[in-house]
Amino acid sequence: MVMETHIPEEEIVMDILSRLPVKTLFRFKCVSESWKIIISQPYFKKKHLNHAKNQLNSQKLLFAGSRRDKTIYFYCYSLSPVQLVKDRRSLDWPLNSEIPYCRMKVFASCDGLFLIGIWSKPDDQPSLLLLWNPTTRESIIIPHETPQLVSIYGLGYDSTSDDYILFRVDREEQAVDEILALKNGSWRKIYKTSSWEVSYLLSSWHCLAFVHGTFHWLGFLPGFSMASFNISDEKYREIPLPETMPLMTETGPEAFYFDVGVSVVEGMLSVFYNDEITFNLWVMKNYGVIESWTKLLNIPSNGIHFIRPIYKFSDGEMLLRYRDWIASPVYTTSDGPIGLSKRIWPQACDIGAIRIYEDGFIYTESLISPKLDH
Amino acid sequence: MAEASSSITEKFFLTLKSSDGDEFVLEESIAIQSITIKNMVEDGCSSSVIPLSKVDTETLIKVIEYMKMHSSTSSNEEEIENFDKKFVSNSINTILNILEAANFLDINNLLELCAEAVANRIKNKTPEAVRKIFNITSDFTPEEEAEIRNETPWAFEGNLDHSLD
Repeated sequence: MVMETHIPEEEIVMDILSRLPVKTLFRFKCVSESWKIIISQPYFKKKHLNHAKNQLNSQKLLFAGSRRDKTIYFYCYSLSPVQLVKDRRSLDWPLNSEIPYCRMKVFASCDGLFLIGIWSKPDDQPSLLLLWNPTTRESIIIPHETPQLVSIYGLGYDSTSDDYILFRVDREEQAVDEILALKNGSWRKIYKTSSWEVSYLLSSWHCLAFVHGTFHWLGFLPGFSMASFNISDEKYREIPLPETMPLMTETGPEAFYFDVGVSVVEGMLSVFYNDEITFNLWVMKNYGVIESWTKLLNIPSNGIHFIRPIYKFSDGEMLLRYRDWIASPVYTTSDGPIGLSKRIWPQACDIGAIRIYEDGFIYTESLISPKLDH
Repeated sequence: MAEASSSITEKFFLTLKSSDGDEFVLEESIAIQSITIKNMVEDGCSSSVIPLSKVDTETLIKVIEYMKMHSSTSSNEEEIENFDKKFVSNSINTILNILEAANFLDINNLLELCAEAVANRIKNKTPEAVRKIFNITSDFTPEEEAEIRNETPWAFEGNLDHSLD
């Protein structure tokens, strides 16, 4: 019998391609003009992202480290349950933009894009803000001119305008937050209503949690609580914390040591608190419904500091990060008391010339471009 | 409602006709895993033979084999898993044909299974191998192709698979 092959319909080709890794897709751009067009379409990039979000193989852990030669390196680890596969990468600078580096911070990650601040001198604000897709190796510089304030930046996606949104919150009382839509490209001030004027961010060590079209952070409003900013109606709201979570009353330097934070766990808003005896983590099962705060973790923390949730595996186990006695991050699972649970990173072979201080982020390998067409 | 209760006691059969003209008799409850066939049954267009002009005999046999396995109440999860594993070990061309049939017949599980299988089989392949498998003639000049390759040389690194299956 003659083997008959005919060209499958475009719909079927698109379905097959949306299941492939990004690297394969960049290789298959040279298969034919029509494949190149499919792979470059914004619609296909979204379809690919939506598929990849649910695939463990497409989830990577990225963290930054520096070497003695003062260059920035990133480490991308695949989250395979068997073994972490390491890929050492350097930052892909936009053309002619490389600056001498003295400090860097990964602020946020969304749909495979990373928002990174790079300092060439010890100012409060980064010298450069970069938006980088480590998978496609594309990056752009985000313009920013701000007074010298200690700020944190968040990154989110607005499905209404099909655009990525950057949001800046300052540590200072009465500072004005700013928002940037990527397609527009310039920062716009958000004026707070009088009741929000005195609110401020708890710590510049924190990250903003973006979920439900809303950025979240902990702060004093003026009482200790969770603040949120919705990108559709541009309103600030307070989200009451779980009733079982202790409230902080200190506002001075002691607040810095209060080991709390916000995060997103399986698409749900999450808050955590570590009192050095136990690490507690809650998720808000129905967004906006205070009664739906549910405690997800309650594990002995053995006096260990700065425990952060990183990822929840489909079997319910979580990947956590804490800092060891030299403040270097350690990644571990939630299967037992912190420090005694299964260590994922670093393994003995990872300890050497690399110094890692930065927090790691989980991201989905995506085709999303930081450039205007996404 | 009356129709639903009668189908429990009485078995209905449908005749499917491949593009090669071969006819297959199949229980209606099995065949309606295909949304296309289900719609035809509901519209009353299934009293005679259902012609499937886009599905050849070899492919239709495989599709029926799949539908029988997945509708059988006697097969357990492990049996189905093993069946699926064996099912996708067919040649890529066979799976591509089944995939097109699944798309035409609107059998979502089968479409998912085949699309995932093809993606797995081609993910490490060279563009040349993929062109042959999908019967595509490149419309790029050698210069254009070299330009695409030079834009992202990292995508061509590593051990690539040249085989056609």
